[in-house]
Amino acid sequence: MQLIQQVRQAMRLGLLTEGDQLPTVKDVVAKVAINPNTVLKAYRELEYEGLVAARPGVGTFVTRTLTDASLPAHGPLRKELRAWLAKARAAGLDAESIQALFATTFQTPIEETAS
Amino acid sequence: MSSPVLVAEGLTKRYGRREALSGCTLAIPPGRVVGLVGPNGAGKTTLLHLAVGLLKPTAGRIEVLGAAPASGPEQLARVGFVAQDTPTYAGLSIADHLRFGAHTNPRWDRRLAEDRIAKLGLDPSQKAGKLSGGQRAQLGLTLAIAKRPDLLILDEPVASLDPLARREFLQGLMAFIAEHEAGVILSSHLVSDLERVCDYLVVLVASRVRVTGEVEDLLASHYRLIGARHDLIELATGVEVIEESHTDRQSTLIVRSSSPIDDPSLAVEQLTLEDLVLAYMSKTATDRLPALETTR
Amino acid sequence: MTWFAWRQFRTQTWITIGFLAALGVVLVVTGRSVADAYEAANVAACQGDCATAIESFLTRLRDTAGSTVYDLATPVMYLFPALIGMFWGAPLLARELEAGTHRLAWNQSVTRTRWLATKLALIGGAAAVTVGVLSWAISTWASKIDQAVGDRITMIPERGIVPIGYALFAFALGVTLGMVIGRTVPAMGATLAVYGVVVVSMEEWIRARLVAADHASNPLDTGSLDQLLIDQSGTMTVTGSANLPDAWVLTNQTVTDAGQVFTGPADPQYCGPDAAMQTCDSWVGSLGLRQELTYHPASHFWPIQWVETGILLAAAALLVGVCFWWTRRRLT
Repeated sequence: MQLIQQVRQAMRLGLLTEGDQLPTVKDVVAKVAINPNTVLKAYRELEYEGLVAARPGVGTFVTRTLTDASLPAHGPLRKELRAWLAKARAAGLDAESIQALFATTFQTPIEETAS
Repeated sequence: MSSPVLVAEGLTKRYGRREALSGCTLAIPPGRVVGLVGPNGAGKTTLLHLAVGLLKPTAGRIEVLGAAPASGPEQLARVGFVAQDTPTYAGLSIADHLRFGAHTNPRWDRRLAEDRIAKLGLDPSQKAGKLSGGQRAQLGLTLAIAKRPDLLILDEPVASLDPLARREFLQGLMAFIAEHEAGVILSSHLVSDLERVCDYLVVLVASRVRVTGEVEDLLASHYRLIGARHDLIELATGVEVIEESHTDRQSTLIVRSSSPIDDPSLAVEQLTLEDLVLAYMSKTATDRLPALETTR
Repeated sequence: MTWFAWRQFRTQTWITIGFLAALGVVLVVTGRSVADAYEAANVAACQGDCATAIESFLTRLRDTAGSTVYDLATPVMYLFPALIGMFWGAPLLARELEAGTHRLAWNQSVTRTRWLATKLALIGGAAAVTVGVLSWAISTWASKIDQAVGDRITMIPERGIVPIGYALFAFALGVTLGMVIGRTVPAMGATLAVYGVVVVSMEEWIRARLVAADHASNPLDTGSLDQLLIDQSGTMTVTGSANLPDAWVLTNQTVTDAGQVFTGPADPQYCGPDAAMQTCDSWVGSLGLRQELTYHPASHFWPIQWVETGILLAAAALLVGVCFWWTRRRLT
């Protein structure tokens, strides 16, 4: 589910760490007009996965950190990625071509490792 | 509270010889955001007006929150209603409307109303006739919300709103039910309006209820089957054909099935909510009798 | 709900107050000229036959503004209830139905019945009070003139409490028609039309019969004949002067001994083209004719007022009952 993915992603990137409070259901739906039950279900799913814990009357809090030792590498990697994107655009690639190029290149090493 | 918010049995409304609503039977569970979908003229407004007591049934019965609609001040206080195109008193200001709400509703939450108006950036002294469509819709929603109902009924609340106003309206509505745990029934002739917010669906076509259920369950139990024409004649029992279309060589069926379809000669696809509703609105669906059918 | 009923009625309230205030000013100012004329003619001091004094009073009054106000009072008293019916009554339900705001009003925590009852009580009450004040003001202002002219018995719908009856009837009529028709302007037109029919019916046929009329039968006094007509074929029409001051004469017929209306034929010897007026008169006098009168004396003023008001209020109550029934049952 999109919401669950977004939370996990934020945790991986270090945007959400242990002890941080997730936005309240009300805040989420006030921004994104979706059914509060959907948000509740997503939070329950995250709780089931052990990533967050609900404290009644207070809120929902992150209980784990998903970042690992590679977090410091994120900064320089992001910089290199931005430079690469600039080069790709300068070479005349449109967004779709860039995504296609990345997707195929991303897939290939995985298959190579698997075999 | 696990008793249904709305119960209808054989609910019918006739005008002369025309039946605006025919034999509707519903049991809507509490705590849901219910989408009432159907083409224009299907009977959505008729059903909602019966639910709030603006109309009386010709036959059958309807109960809302366990009592007959508009059966007294207590029942009226528990249901908030915003009619189509949000009727307001054009010559009265927003503040006058709020005073009106305060004077006629014992559970009126003045704080909630004033905060909401302020947060929306509306000027309380502005006359309602001078408001834009989106602003009037927000005023109507505020009036319905501030009386602290247990059930909110909204008739095509976003139909005439531009996309921005539409989003703001739904944001406000969702924020309200996140905080106050009321049930909501909203109608629309566009599924796209309802897709993101509804978890329960009622499809009304040509004055009859075609299908109701939790959105999750409906999406899990309906499939699109594509195959060569002759292959599709043999389908297991328990599979109900909702819509069918054929070309010379290929047939496409939209079916409802209690168990997954396991046939290698057929392409089986999931449906979007819009696909599902459109299938029930199709001609093949409306030609069938209301009773459940199974294919040979 | 009370607050809201007033809030919706705000404009009409201000207009009415303005009108009554203006009227008050006019009556106070012209009241002076009436009092002056009355004093100058020395009517108060006269005993017995005051005909000359009264005549003098009315003549003095004729050229003043007071006379205009007196004349205008009649159309105002007839029109005011009609305006109440059209502008206070007809829009009450018609405007809500037309604008669709009943879908807002009838979802608040007040039942339809209570909503309607509050509005009817408030605005109906305002109508009764307004017209009551209006009628009292004009009746008081005009009392000396009415006395002098002596025709108050013929002005039933313009004085006393009957105007209140018409106001409440017109109001109830307006509300009912507005509810049934559902559109404000056609409802206003229909209210005016039906009100007009009722007023005319009262005037022409009903009012005379509300209270039993008095009868008088006298020998015909040929010395004071109102008219004596002879047509080509000799048919005669003879009418004696009624001589009933301050009364509302309904019928005045000259009848023979046998009780038939006297139609002649005229005796050419006494009433031919060459005969003198007096000859014909005395011949008629010798026929032993009687004058039969039916009339309402001035003393019937209040009895007729009560009966007519009662009928109007009963009709208004009936219409209000229809409104409640219709709003609960039929507007669904």
